[in-house]
Amino acid sequence: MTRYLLRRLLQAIPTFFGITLLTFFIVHSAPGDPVLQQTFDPNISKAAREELRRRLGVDEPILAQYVSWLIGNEWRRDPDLLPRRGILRGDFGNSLNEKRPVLQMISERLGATLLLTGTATVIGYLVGVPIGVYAAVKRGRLFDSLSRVLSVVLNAVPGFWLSLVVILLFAVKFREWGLPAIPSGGMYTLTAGSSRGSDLMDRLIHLLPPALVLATGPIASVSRLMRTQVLEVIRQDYIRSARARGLRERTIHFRHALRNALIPLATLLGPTLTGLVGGAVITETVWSWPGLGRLFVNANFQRDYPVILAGFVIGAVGVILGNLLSDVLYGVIDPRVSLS
Amino acid sequence: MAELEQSVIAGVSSASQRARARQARIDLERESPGYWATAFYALRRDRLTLSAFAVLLVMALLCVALAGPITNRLGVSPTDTDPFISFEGPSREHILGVDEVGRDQLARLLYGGRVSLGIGFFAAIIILTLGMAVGTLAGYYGRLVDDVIMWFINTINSVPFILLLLIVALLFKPNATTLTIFVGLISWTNISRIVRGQIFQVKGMEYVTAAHAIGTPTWVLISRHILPNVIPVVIIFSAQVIGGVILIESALSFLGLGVQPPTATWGNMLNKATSYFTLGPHLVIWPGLFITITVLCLYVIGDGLRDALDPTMRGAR
Repeated sequence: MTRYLLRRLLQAIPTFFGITLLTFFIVHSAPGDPVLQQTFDPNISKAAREELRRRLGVDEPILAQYVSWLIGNEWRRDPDLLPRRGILRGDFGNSLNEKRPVLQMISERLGATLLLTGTATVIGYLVGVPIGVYAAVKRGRLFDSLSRVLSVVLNAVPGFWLSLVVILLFAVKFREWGLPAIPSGGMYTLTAGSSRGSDLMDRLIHLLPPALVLATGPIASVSRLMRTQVLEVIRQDYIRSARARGLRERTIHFRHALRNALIPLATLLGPTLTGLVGGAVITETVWSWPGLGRLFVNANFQRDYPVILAGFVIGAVGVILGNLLSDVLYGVIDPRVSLS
Repeated sequence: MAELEQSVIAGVSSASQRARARQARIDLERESPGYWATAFYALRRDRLTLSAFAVLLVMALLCVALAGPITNRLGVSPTDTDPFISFEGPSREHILGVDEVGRDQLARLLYGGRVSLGIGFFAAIIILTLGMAVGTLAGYYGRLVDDVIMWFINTINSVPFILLLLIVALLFKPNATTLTIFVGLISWTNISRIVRGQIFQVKGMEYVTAAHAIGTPTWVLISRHILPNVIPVVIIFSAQVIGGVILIESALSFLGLGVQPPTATWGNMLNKATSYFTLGPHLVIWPGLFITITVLCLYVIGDGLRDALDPTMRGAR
């Protein structure tokens, strides 16, 4: 187990460096000059600009810049350079726009994104699993066909448009019609009442709509996987023995079959998280959710390169860890899988 | 059969008997319907897939071939603005209403569909070609080539796809053509993985070893003996890939980073939709509906193709 973990972590290292190389060079081939961008003020003299250029180290060769970004710039032994500690030591530099550490901005928003994607994942599994099992039990009947249609439709609807339609109907039209409406974005009402209970309700009503929209993807994939898994499992001998012992169908399906059918869900966790990170970028933008996705999209528009680079690296680390987690989970849950 | 034997045994040779015998032999020697014939037969009986295909065909016809004639007939154009009627809902002249500067929405949907469908189709060609080529390389040569390619694929796959696309779109300000190429260049990895796996399987089969042993050149070995096994997989995924690209393009254009106006696509027609909820709900509904219908048809076709082309799936429903 430990050896397997170690090996997987070692394997992740070249991937991680590949990502840093790829993103660093893509971002650096961007047109536009970060120094000019920071010194837009015409009163700043040319000499001052050169000075800044020197201190930021953007006039150095690109490979040297890459290494400095990665491990810090002490190795240059250049007193002119602003000290950097490098991303490997957790220094993602300062945002060009907000002039403060990128890591600080990210840590402020990480919670919101985790809350949204976490809720969406939980909803996805809680809704997807029963649908899938029931569809398999009622194979070929109406519910089965409906669940198949549902999963294909949920896959085909663009997430951002689903968000737009939900907002249009439940936030805008409901308010027009005088029905109880949902908020059209944000994490809480800015003028929220002080009482604790209403505060929680307020947060929930802001959280649930975007989380539900985001959960459509996992619901579709989880329910489909569950259906095929249950169909696979109920063909096995031990289910036949259970039936021969005269157990009730419901007990067989939900106690005996479900357990083994659940195992492959662990493998779905990695891809689900990846998909949610991508989906969150769009969903957060539509619902004005103050999370990492929106931070990244805004950084893109403002060409805030340190933030963009940090977004890539953190997103990629998240994906790598998610995949690792789902592989390890698979091995832990299913004793038939040997991890070495 | 019995007649054939009889005629052979008895040596009888009247003309009609001989003809019957020949017919019987032909029946015997006739090959069973091949893989593709069976698949085609299964597909022809799959009504859901056929109707999805029909809807898609109509959609493509409307957007690609008939957009011009229809808009001419209705006397509207996707670019004519009229600020006096901005946000107006459906009317006699403008069947689906007009947008914020008074452009006819139906005309823009049709012309936009041309761009969206085109991007989906051509990006899918790039994705499938590249994916197949790289996957074949990795699968056939294995070892170092495979390691390097898999490292590359794992790297690309670890970056959330939308982030990569966002930054590329931002940096290179794509038009429809360059966007197609970008999407194609960064989305081939999953196909290659699948192709690679398939080739690993086929490569180990005896007939390939036999072909190798009699000195078949590598090129012939790959193109004649190995690749045909991969084609069905690629066909199964083709519909799904087109749908996926259309979704991605629409999301990107919705964020304002895809194809730029005045060129309409279904995605960028929704770009300002968040501010139109009260002014023009029709502008929010229609483009998304077109995307959904198109992608839905493509996914259904993908499912149908899988059922038809994957022999293990036949009769599974």
